[in-house]
Amino acid sequence: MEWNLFRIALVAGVLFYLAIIYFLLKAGKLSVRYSIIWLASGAVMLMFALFPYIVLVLGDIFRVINPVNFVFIVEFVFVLFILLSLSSAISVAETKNKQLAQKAALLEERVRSLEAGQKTAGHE
Amino acid sequence: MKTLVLIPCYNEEENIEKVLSRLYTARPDVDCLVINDCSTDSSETILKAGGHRYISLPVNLGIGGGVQCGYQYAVAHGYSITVQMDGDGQHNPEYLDAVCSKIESGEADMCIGSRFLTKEGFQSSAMRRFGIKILSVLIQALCGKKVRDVTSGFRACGKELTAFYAANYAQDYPEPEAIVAALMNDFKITEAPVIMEERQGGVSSITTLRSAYYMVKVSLALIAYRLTFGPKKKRG
Repeated sequence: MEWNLFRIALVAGVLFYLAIIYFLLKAGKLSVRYSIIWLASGAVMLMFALFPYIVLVLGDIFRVINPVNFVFIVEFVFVLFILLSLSSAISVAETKNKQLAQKAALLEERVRSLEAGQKTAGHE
Repeated sequence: MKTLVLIPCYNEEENIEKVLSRLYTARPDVDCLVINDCSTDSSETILKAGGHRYISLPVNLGIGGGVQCGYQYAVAHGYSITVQMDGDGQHNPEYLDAVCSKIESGEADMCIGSRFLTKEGFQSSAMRRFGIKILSVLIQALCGKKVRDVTSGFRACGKELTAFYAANYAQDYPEPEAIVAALMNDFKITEAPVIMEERQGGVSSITTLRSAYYMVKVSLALIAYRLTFGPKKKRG
């Protein structure tokens, strides 16, 4: 496979993408947990760009007429998984948020009733 | 028996005072906890000024999270019976005995105040009744137990079920799902006839436009719950 402009752009794009993930991780704006699937998708894209032969062979096995469609399918599957993992992360965060709110409300009530008790005790 | 009445309250400034005074007059012996779900009106001011017992959620959790917090309060304070009642005046506190007696006798873990057993009082619209009927049939198909008024928010729970709900309670539109959760975990549910009234002010949380969405969402939630649950659990 020759190095045409498309491949060079692809490699550059993937490297840029991986660099963004790296800097987000470094700045603490992306937790390692959620970065794994992003890194994996970047690694697969990089592999496809560096060794297009893989795409040709796999595309042939799965009878994909245009090899680039195989790349699209793989990336689309990654995007689906990432979206699903985000929904799951939101659900987990929602449950924790709910538990915090409930705990805070119960504690607030307790403080309020304790303070009321103290006030009446002070007046006596 | 030590009884706690939970009243979820979201923007009920028009009703809450009336509902509470009616409850105190009818049953001065029970404790009452209002769960203010981050109301944006003056509900909290009214509760504070009136010296009522209430908890105030720092963020709006919806009826499920709010009621669950009430159950947690009941567990922490060792109540034997927890009764849920709407804050809009639909539920007459005169019927507290009717729903509590079956818990006291140990006949059931949960008793739902049902408007369809004697078909008296406010029956809500034909559409609404049809929707409730569908959910009722669905619950019977999923869990093998006939419950008529599956969306009724007037329900009494015994100590064990209160503890269960304190730990697990559905969100969004929780009434039917709470029934399925209780049935799947081998709690006994029964119904007692009550007469309900039309809400006295404010707006219902379920508007006509949302009804279709409600039906789809609740049906899916019930089926999803049942499918992921596996075989019925036997308690202790």
